[in-house]
Amino acid sequence: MDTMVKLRDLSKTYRRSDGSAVEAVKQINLEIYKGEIFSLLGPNGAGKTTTISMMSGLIAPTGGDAFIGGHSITKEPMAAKRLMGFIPQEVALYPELSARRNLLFFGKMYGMHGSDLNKRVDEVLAFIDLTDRQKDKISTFSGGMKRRVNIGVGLLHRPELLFMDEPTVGIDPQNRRRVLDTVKQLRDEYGMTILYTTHMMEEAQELSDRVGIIDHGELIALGTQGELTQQVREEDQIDFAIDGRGWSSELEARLLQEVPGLTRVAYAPPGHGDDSAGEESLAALTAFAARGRQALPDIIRILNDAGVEVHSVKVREPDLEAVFLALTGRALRD
Amino acid sequence: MRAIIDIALNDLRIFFSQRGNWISLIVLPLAFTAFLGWAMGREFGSTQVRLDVADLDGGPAAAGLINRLAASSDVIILCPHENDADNVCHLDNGETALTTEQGINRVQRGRSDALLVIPAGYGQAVQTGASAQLDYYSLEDPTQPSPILQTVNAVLQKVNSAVVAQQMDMAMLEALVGTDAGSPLADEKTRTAMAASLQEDAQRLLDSQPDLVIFKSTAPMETSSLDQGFGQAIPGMGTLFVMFTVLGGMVTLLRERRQWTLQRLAVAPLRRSQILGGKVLSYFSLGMIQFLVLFGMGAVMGVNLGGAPLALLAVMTAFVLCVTALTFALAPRMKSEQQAGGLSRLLALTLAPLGGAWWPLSITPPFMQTIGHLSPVAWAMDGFQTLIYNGGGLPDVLTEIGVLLAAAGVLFAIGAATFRVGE
Amino acid sequence: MRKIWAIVSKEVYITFTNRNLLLIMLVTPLVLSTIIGLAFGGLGGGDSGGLSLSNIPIVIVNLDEGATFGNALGGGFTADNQTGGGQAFNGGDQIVAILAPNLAEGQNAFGASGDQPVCSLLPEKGADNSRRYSGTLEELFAPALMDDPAAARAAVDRGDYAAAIIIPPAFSQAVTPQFQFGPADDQATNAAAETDVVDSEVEVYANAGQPIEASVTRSVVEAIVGQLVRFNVAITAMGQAIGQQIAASPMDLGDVDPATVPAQGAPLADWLAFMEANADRSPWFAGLAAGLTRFQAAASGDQSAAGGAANNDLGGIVSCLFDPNFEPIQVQQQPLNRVQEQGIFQQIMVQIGAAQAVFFALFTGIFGVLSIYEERKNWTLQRLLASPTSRSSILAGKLGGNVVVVWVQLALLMLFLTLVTSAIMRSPVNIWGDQWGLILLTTVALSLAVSGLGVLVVGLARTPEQVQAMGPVIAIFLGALGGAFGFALPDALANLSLITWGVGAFKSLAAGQGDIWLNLAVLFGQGALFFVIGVWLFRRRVEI
Repeated sequence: MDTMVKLRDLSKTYRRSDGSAVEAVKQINLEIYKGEIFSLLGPNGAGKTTTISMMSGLIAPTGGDAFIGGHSITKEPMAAKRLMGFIPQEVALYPELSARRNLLFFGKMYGMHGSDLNKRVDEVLAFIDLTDRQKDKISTFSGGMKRRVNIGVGLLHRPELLFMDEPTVGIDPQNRRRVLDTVKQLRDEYGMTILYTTHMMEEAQELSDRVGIIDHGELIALGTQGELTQQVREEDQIDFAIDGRGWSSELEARLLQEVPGLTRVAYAPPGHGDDSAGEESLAALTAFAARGRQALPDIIRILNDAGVEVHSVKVREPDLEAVFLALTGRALRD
Repeated sequence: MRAIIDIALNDLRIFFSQRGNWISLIVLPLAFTAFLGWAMGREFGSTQVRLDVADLDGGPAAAGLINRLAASSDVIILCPHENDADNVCHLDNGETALTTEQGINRVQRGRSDALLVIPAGYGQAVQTGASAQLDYYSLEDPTQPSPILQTVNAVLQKVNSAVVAQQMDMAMLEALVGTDAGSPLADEKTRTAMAASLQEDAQRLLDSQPDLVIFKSTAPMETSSLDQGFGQAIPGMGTLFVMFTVLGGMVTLLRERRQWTLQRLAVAPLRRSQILGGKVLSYFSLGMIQFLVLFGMGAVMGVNLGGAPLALLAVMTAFVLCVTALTFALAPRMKSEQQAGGLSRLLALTLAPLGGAWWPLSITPPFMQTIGHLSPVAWAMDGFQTLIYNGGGLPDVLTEIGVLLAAAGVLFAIGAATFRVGE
Repeated sequence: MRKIWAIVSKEVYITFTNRNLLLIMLVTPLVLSTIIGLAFGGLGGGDSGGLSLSNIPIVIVNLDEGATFGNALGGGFTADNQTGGGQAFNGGDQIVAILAPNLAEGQNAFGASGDQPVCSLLPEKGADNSRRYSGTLEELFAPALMDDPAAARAAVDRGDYAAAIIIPPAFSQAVTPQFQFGPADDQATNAAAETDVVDSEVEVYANAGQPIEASVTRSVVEAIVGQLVRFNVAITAMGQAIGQQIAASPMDLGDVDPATVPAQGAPLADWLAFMEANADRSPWFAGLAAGLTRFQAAASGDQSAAGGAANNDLGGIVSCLFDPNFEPIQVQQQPLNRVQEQGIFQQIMVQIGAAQAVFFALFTGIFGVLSIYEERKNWTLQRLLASPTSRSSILAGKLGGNVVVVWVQLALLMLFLTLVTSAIMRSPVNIWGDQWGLILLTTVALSLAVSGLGVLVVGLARTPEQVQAMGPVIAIFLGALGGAFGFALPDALANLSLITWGVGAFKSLAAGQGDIWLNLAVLFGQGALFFVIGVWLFRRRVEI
């Protein structure tokens, strides 16, 4: 498979005013292949936007380099930038200008002009379904329409590579659906390579050919969805909501000892964890077992024996959320 | 280059897509210059001023003085003497003579512009050469010379000349021929007749005396009080307008970063220098448009703008470049649009008056003139003055242009080094 | 109401804790007013007024060839630098001597320096020398001399000098007395004067860029030339008057051969001979012949023949012509009110200070209202809207806060202006008068008008960016009309600006007059109108 993007030890360190350093991005290495949708998944503040900003040449890396189609973004920025389209998280448009004027202007900034540019603007307007509103000012558009123009600008020069930085943040489900469909359409019909950053596990799951998981500026996992879930494949995750009053470390030891295949138990006391809302004394117990469904009866029996009331049980198939949880011990949306 | 121009054109298109910006860049400055031109074009004579005269002497000499005053100026209406059927004097009861108290009261109420009191004994003083003091009351603007007082002084100078000539002639004759018996001046009657004759002759000679001082200037100069300072109103107000417009670019830059259009430019295959160049060009153009609108309208209204339009353009260009450079040197240090707006107003409202855009620097003490030249406005005003009033050409303003360009160079270097798009 | 007040005090607090804002609201207008006040009013509170100009660069070109006046009287007062008994006269040298005493060659008779006779006709002789040109003129001008008029004009063109004073070759000719015995012959006199006029005028060639310096130079030159003309007129009038008296006195010239009557401008000796020969025909002939003989003897240094003080008397009398103190009729500006009594510096601080205060307050008004947009951006406005506070209260609080901020700014500026004036005049003064109620009313009216204008401007603009651009231009516009800058516009235009009305009211109050009801009505009216239209527009733009 041809490589479209290659990151080599890409790093960004900010200096605080007190002299201390903040490593926003720590030596990321990864490759993105031609024609794939690659998702960079991570919670807010993980370093996704910093990474994509360095890759697009918006900010300079403090270490390492990014190669776009073989061109170094630091040494041959023009050649690299010509290959890529960029769709920022914000609606980066001139509110005073019409949709068409915005497209024309940014098209010129990519070196397009004349009838070629005009034709292309028509195509893009048709693609984002705004041909009838093209003469209206952006300031009169709804949020979803602005998003579409925002995407349209990134597509103007038929880039081989498209960077999309959290394009669904803050929009309603209907428009979000539309964005996701567009992303797939761009890959399937136009063969574009797409780097998509998100903190939404479902989006990454739906779209991605491959996923990179980023946390605290570090790339902690990389691969296809299958490869990633493989890492937690042997273990199913069983979530219990229990009455925390009977819980003890002796009970934990007994569970691990007596239940075959049980590898790990995580206990969150009442008031913590998202399941406890509403019922005050409920604690969350998460158990990881090689064969979850087989282990389940044993666990429930031991808990009953100990007088711990089980309120609900959920067995979860491994997904990216589970991968993130397994890798960091935290939920993605914390 | 093409990208630079495209960026600048796009910025200008955005700027002019807002009606409010048309008003601030074109409409109000045009109106301002038109008002100014209109006010300057008006004959001062069309505005009459009323001078009350309280004649406490009542003699023929005082009457003569009033006649002279009346004849000396069409602008000044002597009240009540020159009152007409329309009561141009705004007299309350059609008085034919005013007392000092009435006059003061009228001046205070704005019924007349000034009061001149001819004291009792004026005629005696004119006869004998004794001192007499006329009192003048007015609420005129102390920062502007008073045309009424100037006229009164001019008339009095001739009266004084006649008195002095008569006094001196009499004294001289008495010294020459003596006043002893046998002398032609021994007779009191002859002396009186002689004195009267001397004063009459002197007065007549003075009246027929042609003006021996002619006043010329390098450029048409409005000398009436109304127009003092008008001469620099267009360049002065022009620089002030331009500073507001161009320094306002700081706010726009921050806004572009907030709405991410600047970042969008940064990820396009453009060099940083192209983006910077485009932005610089757009604010520079706005400044130049503002200047050209003001000066152009001034030219249409017949305001004197000197004879070297190209050199004028060069000074404008250097000044706008300097202010643009200042904008870009400061913009990276701004944290919010609010802060940038405040700083642009502070700079415009201090650099302009400090540099002599409101009042000529020459009226301030030397150290203020030195401090004032820290402001680019001072150099621009120097240049405009040389070109508009000193009949200078390009070679005469090279220093000013050089200083402005050098400052622009340094500031641009700072701006280019600190100009950030993404971070 | 308590909520409104809470918003108001928040506005005031935020504004007056912002250092940048304080600079532009208070420091800049204060410093500016003081500089201009000092420039126009000079230090202290003297009533001399005028600009504190000094060292005006001027260049003098003296081409005057001088003139000889054929008659006798010159000798008494141009004794030193003349040859041949003081017959020659050079008016150009006189002008140079007065304007540039340090550059003048040799000693001149009635210039600034030397021990020329003191005018003997002055009521109080030499008591007051303050009006003499010497001293004051030395500070006023920084003169230079040139030979070439073209070069001098070019130097003025370049801006090297504020003015050139070019004295033509025939200047002395034009001011030389037409001494003639005999009946007045106006036509001859005038004709002579008019033919000379073209090349006898002193030219003041000024740089139009320095109008103030130019007009000062012009009036000084006019005064000096006026003195010289005065001499001319005196001598001529004397000749004419004597002629008339001789004609009127009993005499008999019937058998005198007309050919023996000396021509006009004939040497003194001829006249003397004629008068002596005909002394019995007229008492004037006898008297003049005797007097002139005595005088001539004195001029030539023969004291014994001079018969005492005649010479000195004559010199003292003639010097009166050139004595600036000898201006019997004078006009003196009298103070019309409290402020004028205090002198020009205080007057200017009132006028310029008030104009600057209102002008800078306009910015506070406009950009204070604009802060509603800022609040919306920072989401504090939404937070307010979400609270159980009515929309009217929020708007009333924001706008009321703006009015209060403007009022505090005006009040502080007025206080500081008074303090600065007191400090500079070294005595405590309250420059605004003591009609506290009306002063308060005026500041309130101004705050309303200024703040109302802010609401109107913000309401008219569509976006905060437009306010950023439009606000200053509107403020400058009103400032220019209202005389906040260095020029005054005709009343018809000036009255369009609320600054004019405000400054007018402050000037009246400072002058101790209370008749400012029209001003107050205009300001309150404008304020109300602006507020109504502005709030209406504003509510259409901003959901509040």
